[in-house]
Amino acid sequence: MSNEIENIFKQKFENFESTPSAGLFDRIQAARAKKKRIVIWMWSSAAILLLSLGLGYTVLSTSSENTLAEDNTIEKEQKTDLITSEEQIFPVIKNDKFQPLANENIDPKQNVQSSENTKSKSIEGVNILVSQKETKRPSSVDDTVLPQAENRMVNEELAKLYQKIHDANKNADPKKAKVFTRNGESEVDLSSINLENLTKRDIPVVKTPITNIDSSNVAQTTTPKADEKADNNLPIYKLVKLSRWSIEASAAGGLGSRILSGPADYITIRNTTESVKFSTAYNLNVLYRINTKWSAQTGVSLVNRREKLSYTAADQMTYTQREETRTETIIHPVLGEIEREYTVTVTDSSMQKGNQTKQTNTYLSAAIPLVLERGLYEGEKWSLMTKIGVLAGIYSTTNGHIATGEGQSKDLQPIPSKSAGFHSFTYGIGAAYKCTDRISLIVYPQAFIGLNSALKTNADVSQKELGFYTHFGLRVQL
Amino acid sequence: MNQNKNSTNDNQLNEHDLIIGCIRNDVYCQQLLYEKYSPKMMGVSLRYCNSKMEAEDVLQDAFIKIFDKIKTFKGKGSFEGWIRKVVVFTALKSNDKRVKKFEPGDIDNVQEPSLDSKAVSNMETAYLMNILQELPIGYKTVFNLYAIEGYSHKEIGKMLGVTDVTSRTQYSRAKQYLLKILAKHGIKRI
Repeated sequence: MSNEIENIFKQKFENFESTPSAGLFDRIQAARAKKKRIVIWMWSSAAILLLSLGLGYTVLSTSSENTLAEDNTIEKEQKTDLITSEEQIFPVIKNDKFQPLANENIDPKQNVQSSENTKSKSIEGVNILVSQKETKRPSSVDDTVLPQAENRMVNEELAKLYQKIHDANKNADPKKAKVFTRNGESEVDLSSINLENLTKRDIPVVKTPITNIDSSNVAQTTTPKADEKADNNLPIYKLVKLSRWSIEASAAGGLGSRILSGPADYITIRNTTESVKFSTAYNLNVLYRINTKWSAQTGVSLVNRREKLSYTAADQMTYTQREETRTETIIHPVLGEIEREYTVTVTDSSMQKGNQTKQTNTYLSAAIPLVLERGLYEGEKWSLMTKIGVLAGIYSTTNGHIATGEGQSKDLQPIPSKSAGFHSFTYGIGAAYKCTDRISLIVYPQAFIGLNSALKTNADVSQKELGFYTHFGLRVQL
Repeated sequence: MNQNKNSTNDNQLNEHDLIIGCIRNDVYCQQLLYEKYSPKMMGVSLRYCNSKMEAEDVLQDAFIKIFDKIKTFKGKGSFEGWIRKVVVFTALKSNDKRVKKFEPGDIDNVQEPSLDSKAVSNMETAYLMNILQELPIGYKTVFNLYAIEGYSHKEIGKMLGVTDVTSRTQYSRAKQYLLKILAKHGIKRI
């Protein structure tokens, strides 16, 4: 008996059909399209991330080989037996055979200070003493050899200084150089290293950088007791220790527009009713200097695009109906001529002028930029740079109306706004003016182009944002 | 005239062509496939859900899966069977947490009521659907899978992540529960 119920249910339900609501298929298609877009966006984000990482890595690895090597600067690790690590090494090179550095060779922008008591240069913890006699150049070694380093040196000023020292002592015999610790109390044994096998890239790097060396302190501590003859008038370099991190804040003005795609007549209506207006943008970025040329940036970007909407609705005919009683004279076969009353429905028409709407539409969007910047030129005060990157939209809001092209009462509708996910690509070329060692003023014209529509997906057209803004701001190196 | 001819051709699209069209992501073929199977699959989905809205959500998810995964259909067994399986699995997934929380056996000691099977078979399917939907979700699922879909308890156990013994007990409880509900709806006991 109890199996009967199974049979009945099976029989009843096996081929049971029920029609789902109309429109379910459209929902399925829309959901699939959305899923596809999410997948595409995820893949493109992953690709961009990989690309950025790859580019960053490439830049880093090539810079360690080329950028500083071009400057003849030193960055590769050397043998560690030269100086023990406990000593807090600030080596001093002293060599009777070395050429002195002429004062005019030294970049005056590097806060040069002269001291009568010393001829040492203090460069982020490295003090180099050079004396005046010159000597023959050894055939196998073509570089000034400075001792041990642990950190890679990427400080450009330091690199330039090494270059100058190197140039000035091209013919010096590094074998005869003496290396001292910073306080001049201990001399480093150079005989323990094999100078013959050193290459151009075997340049020592500062082990513990010093910030803002006090000149009096330098004078006291850098004069090596080992060689009193070295006390000529050599300058002391005082370098500011700069971090790789900077903060940049800027505000911009410019013009924004959009590219529409969709039904042509609709686009025509939009194009004739909307026009560009002065818009603003703001950036707050953190910069990380990857090397002397490249830096990566991220932060928050705000764009407040404004446009003018000027729309005149089509003239409208209104029709009103009313009843009207009229009389007419008819000839009755029996009664003769009589008057008859009758009612007719009369339709009155009137033309109503279309309303004119003038307002400002705003598209406010916040995005997180992922930008790479490259230095193009760097002078004493002025530098030029360019940047390229993507902005991932995190928030957007709109205020205003757009024409629907449907005429009559439906002629304007609120902008179908998207809350987030409107991403763009950016490119810019800018200039920076160095006010102090740390603070620069920047002018950065930047172009933006939307990667996807700024409107909701069910809007009739796709609207990709465009913009050209010139940023003015401050960049502070930490 | 031409249109008529086309539509006749479309109707004549066999299942193989439909599947190929769907693999190529042809919206028209997808629509034809949807139109062909959606009523039957809605019937399946309804049995696992508590309301039409829920059933439509399941059906929507199932068809998204079907269109996305149609290329994995290897042609083994009937295509309808494959689609039905996707719908059933989607329904199970959507009820996942609730299904495993089996109802307590408060009717363990209830004597199995007998049934006026004639009265039941005379009932409208839609009415029976309402009765079926009244079952707690766990019972409903096991009853559907075993009695209507024809899965074995071992298979059901695997699908729901329980032992086949649990499936068997749940099924017998589900049946008792169903008989109780039928009795409540005025099906006479003989």
